[in-house]
Amino acid sequence: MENNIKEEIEIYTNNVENLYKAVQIWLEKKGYRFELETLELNEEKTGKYKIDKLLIYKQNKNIAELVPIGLDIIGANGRVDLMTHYDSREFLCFKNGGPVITTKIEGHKREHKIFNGIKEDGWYWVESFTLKKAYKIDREVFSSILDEVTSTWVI
Amino acid sequence: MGYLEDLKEVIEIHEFEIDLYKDFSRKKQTEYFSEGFGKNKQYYSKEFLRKTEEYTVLQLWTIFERNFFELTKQYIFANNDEGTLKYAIEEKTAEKLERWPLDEILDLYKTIIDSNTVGMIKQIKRYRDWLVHKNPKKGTPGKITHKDAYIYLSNFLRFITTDLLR
Repeated sequence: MENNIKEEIEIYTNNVENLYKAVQIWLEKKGYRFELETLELNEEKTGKYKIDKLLIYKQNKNIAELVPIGLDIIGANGRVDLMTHYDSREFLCFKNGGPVITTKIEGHKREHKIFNGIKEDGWYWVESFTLKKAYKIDREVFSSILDEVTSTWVI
Repeated sequence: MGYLEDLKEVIEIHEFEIDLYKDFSRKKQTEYFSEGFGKNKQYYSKEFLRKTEEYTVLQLWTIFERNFFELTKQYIFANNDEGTLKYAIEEKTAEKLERWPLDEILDLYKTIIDSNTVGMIKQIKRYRDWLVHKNPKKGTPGKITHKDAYIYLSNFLRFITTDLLR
C-alpha cells in the first residue's frame, strides 16, 4: 500500500476514534455502555482496511451504532453514520470552510460555499439540503440527534 | 417543470418514502420483535434505507444528465446562424453529442467552473455507474449521499444556466 494511502487511512481512523472518544465523554453518566466491533471497508482508492464501529447500549440493548462508511466521500474527508435499526444520520468530516465551487463567469471569479457553519475542521451534520446549514457535532448536537433517532422506537 | 423542480421532486419523493417507512415501522415494531424473525426485519430495514438512498442518487443523476445535454446543446446553438455551413456543423455536433464520452464534455466546462467541481461531477457519475453495475468483490468508488448529490448537481446546472443567460 502506498504511503500516502496509508496516511489517509490513518488520518480517517484517528478522526473516527476521536469522534468515538468524544461521544463516550458526552454520554458519560447517562446510563450508556459502549463496545467496539471491527469491520472491514473496501474502497477503490485504498483497498481493504479494518476500522472499528462503536455500538451504543442502553439497559443492555443495542440502541444505535456509529458506523464508518469510508474516507473516499465526494466533497468531504470521510463519513460516519449514526444508525439504529430503523433510522440513520450521516456525519461528514470537513476541513475549515467546507467544500467550495469556483466559477469564472464573464471573467469574474467567484467562490460559492456549499455549506454554512463550517468554521473549523471536524465532523458535521447537514440538517437540510435546502438551507445547507452544517452543524458541528458537539455534545448538544449529538445528544439531540441520538434522541431523535432512538426515542420513538421500542427497539 | 425546470431541472431544479425535477431534482427537488426526487428529493421530496425520497423524503415521503422514508416518512411512510418510519411511520409503518413504528406502528409495527412491537410485532416485528415479538416474531421469531425480528433480526431479519432489522436487516431488511437497513437494506431498505440503503437502497432507497442509492435509488434516489440514480434518479438525480438521470435528471442531471438529461438537462446537462440539453444545456450543452443550447451553447452549440447560442448564435443562430441557420443556413450557413457553421450551423450545419453545429447541428451535426448537437446530434452526436450524447455519444461522446461524458467526461470529455464535462471537461469543456472547466472554462467556467473550477476543475475540482468538474472532478466531483465525474466522481458522482462513477458512483452512479458503480451503483448500476455493482461488483461486491471490488472496492467502492467515492460515495455521496442523496442530499449532497442534489446540492452539487443542481449547483452545476445552475452555473451553466447563469453563463448561458449572460
